[in-house]
Amino acid sequence: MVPRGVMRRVTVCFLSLILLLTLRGNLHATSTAEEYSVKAAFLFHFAQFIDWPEKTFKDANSPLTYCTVGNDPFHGALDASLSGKTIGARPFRVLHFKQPAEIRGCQILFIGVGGKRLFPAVLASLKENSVLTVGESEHFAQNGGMIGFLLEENRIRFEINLEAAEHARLKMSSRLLALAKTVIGGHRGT
Amino acid sequence: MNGKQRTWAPRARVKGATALLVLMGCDAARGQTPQSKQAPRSASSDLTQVSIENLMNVEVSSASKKDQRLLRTAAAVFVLTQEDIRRSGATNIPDLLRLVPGLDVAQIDASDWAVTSRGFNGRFADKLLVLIDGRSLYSPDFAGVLWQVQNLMLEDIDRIEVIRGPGATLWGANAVTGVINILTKKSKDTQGGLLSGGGMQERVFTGARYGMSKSEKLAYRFYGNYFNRGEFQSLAGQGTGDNWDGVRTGFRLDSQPTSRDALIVEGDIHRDAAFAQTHMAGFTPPFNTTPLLETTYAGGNVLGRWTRSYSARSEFSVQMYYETLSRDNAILNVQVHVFDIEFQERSSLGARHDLIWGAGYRATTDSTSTSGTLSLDPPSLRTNLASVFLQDEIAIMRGRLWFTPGIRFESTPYTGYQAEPSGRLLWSLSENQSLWVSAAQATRTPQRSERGLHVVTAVFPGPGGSLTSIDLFGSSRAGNEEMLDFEAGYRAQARKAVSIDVTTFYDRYKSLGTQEPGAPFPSASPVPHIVVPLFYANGMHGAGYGGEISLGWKPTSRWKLNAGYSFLRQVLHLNPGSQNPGALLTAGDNPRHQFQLRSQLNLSHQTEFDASVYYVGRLLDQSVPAYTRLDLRIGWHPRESLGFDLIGQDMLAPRHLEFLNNTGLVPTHPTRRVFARLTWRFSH
Repeated sequence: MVPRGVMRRVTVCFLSLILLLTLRGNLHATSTAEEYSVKAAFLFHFAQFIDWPEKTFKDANSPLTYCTVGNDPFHGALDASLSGKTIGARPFRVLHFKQPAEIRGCQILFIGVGGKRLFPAVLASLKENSVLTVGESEHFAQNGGMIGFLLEENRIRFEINLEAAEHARLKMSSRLLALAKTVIGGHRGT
Repeated sequence: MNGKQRTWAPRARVKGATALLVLMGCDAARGQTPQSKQAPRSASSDLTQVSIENLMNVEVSSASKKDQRLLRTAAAVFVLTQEDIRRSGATNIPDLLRLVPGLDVAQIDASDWAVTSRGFNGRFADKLLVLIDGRSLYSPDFAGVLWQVQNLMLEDIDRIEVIRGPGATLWGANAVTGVINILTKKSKDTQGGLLSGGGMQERVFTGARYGMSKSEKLAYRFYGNYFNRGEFQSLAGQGTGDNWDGVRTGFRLDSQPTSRDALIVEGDIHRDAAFAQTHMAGFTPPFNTTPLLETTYAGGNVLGRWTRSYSARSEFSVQMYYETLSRDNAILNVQVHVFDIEFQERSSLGARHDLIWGAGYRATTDSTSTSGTLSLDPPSLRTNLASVFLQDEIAIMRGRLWFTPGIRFESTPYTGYQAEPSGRLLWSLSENQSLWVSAAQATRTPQRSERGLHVVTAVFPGPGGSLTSIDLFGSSRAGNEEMLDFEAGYRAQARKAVSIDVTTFYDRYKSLGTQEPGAPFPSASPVPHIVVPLFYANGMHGAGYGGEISLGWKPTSRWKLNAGYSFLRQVLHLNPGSQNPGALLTAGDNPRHQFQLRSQLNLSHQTEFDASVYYVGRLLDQSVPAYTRLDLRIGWHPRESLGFDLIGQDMLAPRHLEFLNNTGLVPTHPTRRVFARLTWRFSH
């Protein structure tokens, strides 16, 4: 039999741990580096399949900006994947925003599962801007997002809401559309 | 019993962490793709170098999904991953199960184990159900699991899912105090070759596997292994002669003829031979002896499963398997054949109901030839078992609260119809915290031996040359053992770094097995003597309570710690009229406290250092003292394809005892041992 004092101490430690976990407001979505490294690589590739309106960039050297909102679901994996790389002469830049209202200067915006509740506010704040919205919550594309990640048999798939993309004056290449699991709305084959 | 659907979470879709190997053959991005200014560190570490088409074939690690699934599961579940298996240094399945907090694993001699969950341990521990890829390992003759014939290639195991507590609604009878699902890898995850082997004090073990794929739609593998394990020791340090060896070969084929259909066919044949000091009674002096007896086992099995998916939330599957196993020694020769078929369907009914139902049938035939001291009546028998089950996961508040009622009806060989209901409630407090409670009823059904056995357990000479024997008889009175279980649990996951899992349970047991004495009678065979008979009966009841805590912590990306603690207390009583006080001691003798701490540390990209400590409390009534086991492993892989391990097991003491009771065997002492292992992987 373990002495009573030891048991009490174990119990106290254990209860404090529960309390600690409960009180911490910023509990994150569970994630592995691997899943988000793959998603970061997808985001890297999306850039080459999208044409932004000409006035989006100041010149050929101005950066292409990726943004996240809420807590960074990539835990740094997006920054690491894009660091030091370019598309043509354009370098990549990653910005992390806490609140939808703060979002500025993005071309690709990722809304993680944790930012799901922010999504309506994000959509409202982006309104007429040409920003590619990418998300991972259920029915993301059906709810007005442009590219929604899905997980099927452990593999990453995505749905495209072409209507939303066209509304934001973004052109998606047919190669990307061909890879999508489903394409919602829009005029396919352009 | 389907590895694909009837895993512990009904919605579970995701499988093992094999991920990035897929990338090895992928071509890097070309043409108009964005260019990297940096030299890529390696093709496999920088995923942006992989084309988007190939990214879609990359399997993502399931660690996060595993945790999310755990957070959605209203049961005491623990999952061992291939990484845990590889880094444990274990060379057999029972040693792997020591990693699971709450399981009680005790080695009796070099080739016999007692493994259980939440009490009632023994050589034929009979309230735990173990399955490999949906095939039941529960022995239909003497109950329990013959651990000495389950020598898979551990490299081919994808994961081991352990449920403590009853799982009878989904898995059927005898899933009383726990269910263990051993799931092997898909063939496409074992492509190319693998050679592994090692030796030293473990003597020698080798394994080879080769996997190929015809196309995206068809992949298969073959494997073979051989081992020869050394003897343990007596208390005085003498060799006990209980060495054993085994050889096994098998295959698995995975096919996807269409995007909706998946087909698995797998099979094994094996032969094992083990020496054990076995209690034997005889009617000539010296009457009761413990000769070193060799038992040979030969068996084979083949399993096929077809799954058709209608949508992400609905599918149906049919599974069939056949197994044969023979066991032969000087006391008993028995050959068992099992044929099993089952069908199940999963479908969603509206947005709130996730329904799973199924039906199964199992036919078991056996034939025995017996010695003078042990026989089964009738010598040959066929039994049938049929069952249907239904379980509904109801989203009471979507994304927050689920209620999962379920029930199974079973027609069993000896005890007729019975129902095994369960109800589980899961409350998702947030994305990373959940609470659950459950109540379930589970049944253990009597097996062949409890109905038809006759064994002379001991012979005593009396005055004037008269002889008295104590004989154990199967009895038509041997009935079901029942357990009613209440559980509650809490799980949380904080970022990637910390996870916690706590469960507590209260069990009520009814009609537990006892051996009741009958009136002595004279017998003339083989020599005139008096028989004191004992009959299998159900003369005990009681209650048990306890809990398990499991903590995971990743202080840095290179260091992972796991801690576990479990507590168990059982209070058992004899029913009025029962005269088997010994059963109280046998059944209720568990380690009250068990503790473990495991550390997995990556010293560099090529070097791993792992250490595990297990504390197992004493077995009071068996006078087995508490012991602490320390296992160490140093792993070095100069290339990804090549790995060397140096493994030390039971490092703290030269030898110790783990189990004593009522096994029919003379327990021996596991010794401190050190061995080396080499693993070489190659592609086609």
